[in-house]
Amino acid sequence: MNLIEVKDLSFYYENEKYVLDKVSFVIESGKYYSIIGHNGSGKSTLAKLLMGLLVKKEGSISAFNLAYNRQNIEEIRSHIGIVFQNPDNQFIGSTVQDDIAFGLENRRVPHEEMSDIILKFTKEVGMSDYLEKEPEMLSGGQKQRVAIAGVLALNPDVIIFDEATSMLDPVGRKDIHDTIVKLREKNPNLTLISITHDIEEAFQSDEIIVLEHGKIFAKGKPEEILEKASDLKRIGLNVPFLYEVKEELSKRGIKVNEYKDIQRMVDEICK
Amino acid sequence: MARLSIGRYVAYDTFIHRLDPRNKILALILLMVAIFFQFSTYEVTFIVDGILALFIFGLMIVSKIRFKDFIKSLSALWFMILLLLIINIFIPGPNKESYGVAWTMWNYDVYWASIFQSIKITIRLILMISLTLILTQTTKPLDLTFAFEWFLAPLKLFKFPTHVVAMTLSIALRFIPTILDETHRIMNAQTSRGVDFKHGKFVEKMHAIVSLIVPLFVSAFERSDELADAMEARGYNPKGKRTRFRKPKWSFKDSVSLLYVSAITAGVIVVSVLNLAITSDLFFASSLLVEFAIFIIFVLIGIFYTTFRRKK
Amino acid sequence: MQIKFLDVSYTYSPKTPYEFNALKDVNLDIKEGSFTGIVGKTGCGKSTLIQHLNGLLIPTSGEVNVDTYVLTNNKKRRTKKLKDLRKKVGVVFQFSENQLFEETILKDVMFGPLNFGAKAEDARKISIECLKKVGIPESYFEKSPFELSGGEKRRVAIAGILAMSPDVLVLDEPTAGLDPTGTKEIMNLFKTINEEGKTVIFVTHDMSLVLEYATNVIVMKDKEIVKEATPAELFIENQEEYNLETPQISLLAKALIDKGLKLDLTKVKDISSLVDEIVKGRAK
Repeated sequence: MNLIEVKDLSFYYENEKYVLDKVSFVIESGKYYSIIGHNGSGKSTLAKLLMGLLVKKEGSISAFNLAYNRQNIEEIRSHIGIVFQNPDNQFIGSTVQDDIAFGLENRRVPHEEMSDIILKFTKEVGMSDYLEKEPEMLSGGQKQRVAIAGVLALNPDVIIFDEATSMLDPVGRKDIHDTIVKLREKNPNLTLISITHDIEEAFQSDEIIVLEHGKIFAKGKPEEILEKASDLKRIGLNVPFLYEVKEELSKRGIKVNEYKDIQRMVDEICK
Repeated sequence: MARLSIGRYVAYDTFIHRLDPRNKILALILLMVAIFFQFSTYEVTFIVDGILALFIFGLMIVSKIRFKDFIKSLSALWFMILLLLIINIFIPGPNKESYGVAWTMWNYDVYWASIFQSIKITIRLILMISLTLILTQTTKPLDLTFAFEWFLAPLKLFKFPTHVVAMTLSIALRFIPTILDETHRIMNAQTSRGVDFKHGKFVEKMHAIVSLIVPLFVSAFERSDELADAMEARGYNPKGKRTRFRKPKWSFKDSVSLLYVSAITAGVIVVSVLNLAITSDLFFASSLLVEFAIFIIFVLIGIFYTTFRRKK
Repeated sequence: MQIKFLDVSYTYSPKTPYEFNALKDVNLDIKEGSFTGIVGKTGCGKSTLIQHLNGLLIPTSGEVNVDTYVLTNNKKRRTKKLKDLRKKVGVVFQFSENQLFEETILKDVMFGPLNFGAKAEDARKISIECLKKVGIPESYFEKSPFELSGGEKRRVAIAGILAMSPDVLVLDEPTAGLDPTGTKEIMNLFKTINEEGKTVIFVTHDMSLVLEYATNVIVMKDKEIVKEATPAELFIENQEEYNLETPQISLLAKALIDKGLKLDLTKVKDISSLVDEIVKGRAK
């Protein structure tokens, strides 16, 4: 089932060149998508358009069979949640539980139900011991986990991660990564869209969309994208580490097929 | 990492901490009224102030405010006390002579009344600061904002967006530590580029301040953009109806303690009226009585209003 | 310029309820001309340490010697004028793009040199030179810095420090938030600067950058320095006790060695050097 359909979508800020130029793709239910590309390739603009925070200039965009317009936007947003890049600038409540409550209050969840919901989802991200903590007492990774809990509490069908790990240290990054993996195991119907620089992470998703200068440069399953590895490198994007090793080896006459698992690759090299 | 410690909420679980923030604000106002009431003689003034001081210091002990924090919160006061003393000594006032001359300095008479007056104001300032300290150390900023919003509720009749004001306030409070950290970071960065924030000529100082203020503003604007997006994405609509997570509960102990504080204030006013009547300032006394009546009505309405709103 | 830490400890807000010890008995020797990486988990004291390098912080106890400058709590021994030190040790803080404030990019870069007393003409000359070095085209010079993208802003901020012509360049997580291309460009820039003879000190969480670029590495853990080594030495041994991630290259290389392939780990820095070693190893 297609949850989101984007067709020939274009966007530009006033008097400037196109940030997004005729972008088309569909988001299917239950899949994990990654959107990769340089800083300034239009990734974050795309996320804001999907959230209805920006209004398209040309083309069409619809979600859950609803066109993006003033009447539908509240309904659309009730299906889609987003975790932004900066942990500080999306922490709205003055404590962890107040922050999660913020979304619930907006959705007019009855007061009596809130505490249970907050507890349930802070547990899910491992933050239930921090309910009364203020943001300045939390690490970046912890704040992002609160942001995820805040999104989950609103029971969305799609979650967008807009470079949610790029401002975190390795510990925080791993935290969020593990949280996402667990989330997918628990909710197989949840659709994820991850906008990321982390190439290793991107290649674990079901589908990859590569953006370059506001256009879709490539789109497909990770294996299909890797067939265009040299093109990716030409526009300055990395490929997964082991794949790059495999390619370097083949240049030097050592043929290896494996590039997904380090141990199998080692076995093949030492054969 | 350097954080302000004075006046910040300290998470204990005392009787005062558990009181409804609305009650605490009302009690603060009542006690302030009591503190600043006038009496015709300094004897009565000091006795009443002494009783109030005992009560307020009792409150401070109950709410576990550390003596060190209390002393620190007064640190800005010393200069003011000195200033007060000088002003009171050199500015002529009515009935200055009534308590006689304390000493004579270069042919200038220093009256006891001037010194008493300075002491009186000092005591009252200290009491006032103590009350504010109790309020801010025992009440979360968020709860204060809530109480503030609640008191403004009648303005909704005139389409005043009380909820938006309260939301703005609570976000401002939430971001104070973040912005302080940011200020510190930018100061470090500019100091590393040769800026001296402490010394230098006026022009240099202005330039130094610009190099701090501009980046702070730019980042504050960026923050507010991102914050607005984050709020919108989570369904915030300033015009829409919202439910509430935090609901302060007005309990029996709130009613009792508010009545208790009202009684103290009423007592102070009665003493003041009697005191003025005895010293035969009848006109002033009667005008105070009228004020007193108005005040009692105000308190009654306040308590009635709280009880009524609670049941709704 | 020699940099030496002698038993340096630092405590924030001492004698208050917010007292916080961030450095404990740090001894350190950073060699002139080195490319030194400082690594460790968040909160281990890295940022506090680098703020000692240009006198933003003065040790609570112990002594920091930078060239002839002495930073200590002892008022008699302490160097009085720290401004000269700040000219010699240029520090680029984390998210340095936030420090820009002038009307034009060129003016912003000139800000540092002018503060340190350079003549307007000289400041202009060196600023243009530095902007070119970080890859900002001349057509941008008169633009407002706020029109730039995040990565460009950061390069302007770095140019602003370079224009002070410091002998030592200190960088706090210079690649945070940059995409892989941006990271590579900026690290190569620091490498060039290092090769021109300047000492470069950088704080990072990215171990592969340490392996690829650094000549020396300092590992911090819980306010202390727990290891000083070359990157190869650090990643050969089992560094998990320091809570560090192992770069993927080292993981792969070690797995190959475990399988019996003979590799010289000290030569493995990036993919091409690893592949060189694999080819050699298989030939043996």
